Amino acid sequence: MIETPARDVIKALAVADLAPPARPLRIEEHSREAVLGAITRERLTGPAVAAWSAGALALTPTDLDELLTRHEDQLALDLRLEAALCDAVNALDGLGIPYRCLKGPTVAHLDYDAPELRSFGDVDILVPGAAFDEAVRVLGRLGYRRRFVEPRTGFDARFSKGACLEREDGVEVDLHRALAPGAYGMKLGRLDLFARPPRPFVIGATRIDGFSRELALVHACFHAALGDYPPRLVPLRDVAVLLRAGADESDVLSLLERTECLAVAKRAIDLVQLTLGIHLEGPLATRARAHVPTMLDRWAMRTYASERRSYAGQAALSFWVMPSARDRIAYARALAFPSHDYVRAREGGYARRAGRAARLASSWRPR
Amino acid sequence: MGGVATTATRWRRDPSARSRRTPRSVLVMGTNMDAPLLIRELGVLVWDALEHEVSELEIVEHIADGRTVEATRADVRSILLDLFDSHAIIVAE
Repeated sequence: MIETPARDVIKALAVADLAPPARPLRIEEHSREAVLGAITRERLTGPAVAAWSAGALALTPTDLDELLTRHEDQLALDLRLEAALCDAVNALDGLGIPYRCLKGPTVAHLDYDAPELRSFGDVDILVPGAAFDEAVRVLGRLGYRRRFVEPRTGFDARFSKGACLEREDGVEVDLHRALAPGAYGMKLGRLDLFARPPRPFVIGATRIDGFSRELALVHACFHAALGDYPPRLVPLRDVAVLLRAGADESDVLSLLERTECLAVAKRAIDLVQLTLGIHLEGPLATRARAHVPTMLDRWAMRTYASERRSYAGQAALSFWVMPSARDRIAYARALAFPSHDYVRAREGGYARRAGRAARLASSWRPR
Repeated sequence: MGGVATTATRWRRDPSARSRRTPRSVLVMGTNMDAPLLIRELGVLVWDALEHEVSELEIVEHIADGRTVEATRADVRSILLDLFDSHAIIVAE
């Protein structure tokens, strides 16, 4: 058996069920803590346990016990979050607010071989912009509070990706209006994401409306390419799993081309190859790899996928891709003259904010 | 449960209960519970038996194996009580 460096073990575990390793992986004694810690942080306890069950991961009895304990802790969280999801969608349904459950629970129940293979750390729910503020109030009655103040009343419902809502016990709901912040979120927002019928699934006695597999794949690409930097492994895994599950690739391509978001899929597919070592094939991967990013793509991608990734940069670029002058004016006015509460919470004061704005204007102009 | 249920009472999983499985355990989240119940070993066998409507006696007969029936019955009753208190099972009508 060959000892494998810690980071390679994690990546191999992330794809062990998609591309089984030639030899069983083994955790070196000196990297034991690092590997188990990374498996936990990346929410990969499910794939790691599955790899052990399939003989693809060799563990000492002590390490197996530790891994199973961590997996049980994660699954307990998954179940608590699903309970929160059920409460939230029942409340939204009760008021006739349309919604789509995104990411974790949807793909765990509908696209992975078993829900134990796809864990999550929060609940993501998409609602239409017109119903966003009402949805915040509905969730407020369930004990959720905004983690961050919005720049001005109504800003999130019109311009933001959404808002993070938190309960006192730490359970988080990410209430989305869009699938990504910044320019690509705005571009994809040209689509009516509620025009397609939902893909329902049942948790306990609650029917949940999930995204269609095609929109779930679009969202997985967005999450993988534009989410955390460096990218997390689970969203990359989602891209591979959704393609394997049979998403209609020509439909996905059409959605991405219509919204000029093919560069996002290109980055996601490149990251799956570079990070997980899986060479995806098929019409989507082929077309995305061949895509030549425009100048706007290169500029936009820097606001997400680099050490200089910043909310401010994404906000600045959003301004340039907004569909109307009226939107730009409202957006610029809200950011130029935010509420007192927002400035105090986010910037510490108006002088500091003005300095940042000047630097931002200089750094993120189009070029 | 104690004052009402007998060994002939028939149980089934609450349709609202949700679960996750590991190679050594099952986590069961009952309706309106804040946290799941973690069951292992005999508890997993009981949970599996509850996939269909079943009585305590039938569960004991099914899983008693080499153990004495009386010891198994006491353990099964204790597990059923935990599951009932966690709103994970209900009395079958």
